[in-house]
Amino acid sequence: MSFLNINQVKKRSVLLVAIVCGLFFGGEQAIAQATKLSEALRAVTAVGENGIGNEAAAKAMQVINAAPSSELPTILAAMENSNRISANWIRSGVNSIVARDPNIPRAKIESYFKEQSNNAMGRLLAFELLTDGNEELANRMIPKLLDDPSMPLRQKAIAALITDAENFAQTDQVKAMGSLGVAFNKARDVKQLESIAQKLSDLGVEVNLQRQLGFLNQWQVVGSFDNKDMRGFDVAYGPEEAIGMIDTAATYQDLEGKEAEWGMVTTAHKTGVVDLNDRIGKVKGATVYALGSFFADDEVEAEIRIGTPNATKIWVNGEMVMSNEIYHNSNAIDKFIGKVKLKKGDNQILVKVCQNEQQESWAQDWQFQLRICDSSGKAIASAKPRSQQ
Amino acid sequence: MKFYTTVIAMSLVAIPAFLSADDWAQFRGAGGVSSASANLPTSFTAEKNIAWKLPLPAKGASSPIVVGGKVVVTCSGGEGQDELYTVCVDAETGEKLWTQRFWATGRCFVHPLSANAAPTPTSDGKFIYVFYSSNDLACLDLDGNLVWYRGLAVDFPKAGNDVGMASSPAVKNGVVVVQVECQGDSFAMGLDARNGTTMWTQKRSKDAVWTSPLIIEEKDSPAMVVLQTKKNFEVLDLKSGEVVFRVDGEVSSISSPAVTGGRLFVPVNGTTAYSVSSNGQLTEEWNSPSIRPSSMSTVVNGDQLFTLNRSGVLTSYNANDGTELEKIRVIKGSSAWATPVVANGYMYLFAQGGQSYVVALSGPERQKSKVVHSFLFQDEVFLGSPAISGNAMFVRSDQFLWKIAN
Repeated sequence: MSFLNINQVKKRSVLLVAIVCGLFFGGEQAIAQATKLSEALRAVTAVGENGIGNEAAAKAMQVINAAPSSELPTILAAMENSNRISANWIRSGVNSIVARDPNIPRAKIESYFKEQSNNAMGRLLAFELLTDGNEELANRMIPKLLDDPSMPLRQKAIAALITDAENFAQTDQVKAMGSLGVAFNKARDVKQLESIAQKLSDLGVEVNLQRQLGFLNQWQVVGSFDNKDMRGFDVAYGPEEAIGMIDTAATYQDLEGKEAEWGMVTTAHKTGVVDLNDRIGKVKGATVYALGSFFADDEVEAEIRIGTPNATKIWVNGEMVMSNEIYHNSNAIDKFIGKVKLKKGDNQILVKVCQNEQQESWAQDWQFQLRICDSSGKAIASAKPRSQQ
Repeated sequence: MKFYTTVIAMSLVAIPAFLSADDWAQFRGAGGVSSASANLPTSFTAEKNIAWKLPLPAKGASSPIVVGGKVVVTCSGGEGQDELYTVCVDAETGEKLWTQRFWATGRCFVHPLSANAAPTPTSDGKFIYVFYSSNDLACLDLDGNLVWYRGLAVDFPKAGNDVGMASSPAVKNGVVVVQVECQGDSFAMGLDARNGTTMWTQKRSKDAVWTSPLIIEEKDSPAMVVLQTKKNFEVLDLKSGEVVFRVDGEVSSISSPAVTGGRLFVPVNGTTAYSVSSNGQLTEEWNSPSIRPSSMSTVVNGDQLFTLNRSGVLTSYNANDGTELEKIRVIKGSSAWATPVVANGYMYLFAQGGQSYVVALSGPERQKSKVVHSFLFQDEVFLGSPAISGNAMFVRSDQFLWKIAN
């Protein structure tokens, strides 16, 4: 046993005070930093349309960019309050942090990733953090994402199945078909589904892509009405005047003064294209109306998705869902998306499709393809066969 | 805390010009003239005179820019061209310094040949402004940290030309300008370079236009920005967005204007040259209906203008009066989209099919222009114009970024 002399006591006292002060003020500093980060994340997630909140967020970004990797779980959690713009602010902050401080808290990030109720893009970000530079881990994780509610994550699993099928296409066609069959049922992305359907077709298996994507294939069509100088877009012709009580037995005067009546069009196109040039003729400066029906088993939130190179308006059960006065900038599937609540039973869908008078060869299409799906892109199920809708 | 806040506030207030002569900080370089003084190799292959070559994470039709010894290039990938990249590389060593990534918030539909990453970034020397066809606009510092972000498609949901937008942003005096002109929501916007808030918005025509805004600030004139549409071009006050000059006519919807030495060249009614006076007035000097740049923009080098048509024919003109000087066929067997560049009497051209050409231009040392070198970069697609910095040229394909230097 030994006794401390006065100098030793002094030294140890100073050390003890330093430790206590360090703990106290260090803790205070940590709390201050956490508060600062929390405020910064609040500022960043508050950005909105028209640059609202940008001024505060631009300052806040300096705090986020300077945060240590240990704060990544807190930052990922902020994705819950993000919109699609602020999600990018957060993502870039995460990128900057990891570039500076790559020692990420893996266990906490993994835990965030595994919780499927967490923000879909946040989980994608967590996946990227966990698998960055570790292809083996990514390959182990990806097959488990086939039913993931995060569509970008699910896409990775579908892409892996497609690659599997490509690898087996020459050596084991049964296995290839098996992979593609699973992928076809689980996929939601249109491009992936088109690719899968084509590969199955190459293997001799035909699938109904139109039904899988939820395209309406039967329409009553009437026209054509005037759209010279694109003036018809805002003119309510007969069918539009009768919205909510359209009688398909009614006839109207067309742009040539002749009687126009409703006629049934059934499209066999694999992605539900209704070709109006084929049905009406290559008329320029003209408008048609197409009336479709969808039977919903229950009241359901849904999306109406249309692809068309023409100007269109869409009404569901008499309510306008979207209006897009845009001509010939693409024929892309799902070009415009509108949210709608379908009622239980039959839902009436009216589409107004306007053709302008452009002469260029690429501006001659007059068509649309419309599908009904949920927000993930999955077709809404209906007990009523499509042929009876 | 107060000190810290003050420092942040001060750093956000002033954005001085930090550009140097070696910087190539926007689409087609300073003034959009696509020329610079540099000693570049007059021949190169996939190995010869390649200082370095770096694989890119995804494709792109944008051009690289060079700022403070850093090469910045944008890329886009993913299943639907919705993954956006900004890559920064050390110009000297080719070492990748950082990559920043974003999710596209707007429409990503583009022609299969093109990419969401079609607009070229721009820089004021301190910050980089990256823009994509999906109308995502971000400001990054030179270390890759995000300063601010705007998803302009959220404000203008029908903005987008599904062939792909390609108009590059411009920046000067603390104002970032973007032009989004398409069949849907069309607009031009001036944004505060410090935080991305909107300073002004101008509604534009509902036509597909791919040209880029050009900022002019000649002599003592106030900074102005030139915007083209199919039926006119306008000059707007940079700070307020007010139209100060307008000419109606037949205007190119693809090739962009250029300005140098107080003279502005606009592809209107063929090509028209204007002198920019000290009070910002534009006076027509000459017009030539026959100078019609196609997909590529006019190159200005000294007293000469150059256009390249889609058949690969290069034509030179006197920049002082628009008279034609010379015509030679350069590119064969491929489409070309990238505006060529000129350095020290040589023109450098890159075509879609991977072909590259060096043309020795006519001048005091040479009676006629002549193709002095060509090389096919196998399996490469060139859509973006090269950038010149120091005695090096930086060019990107859909797969790689190259530094070409002696």
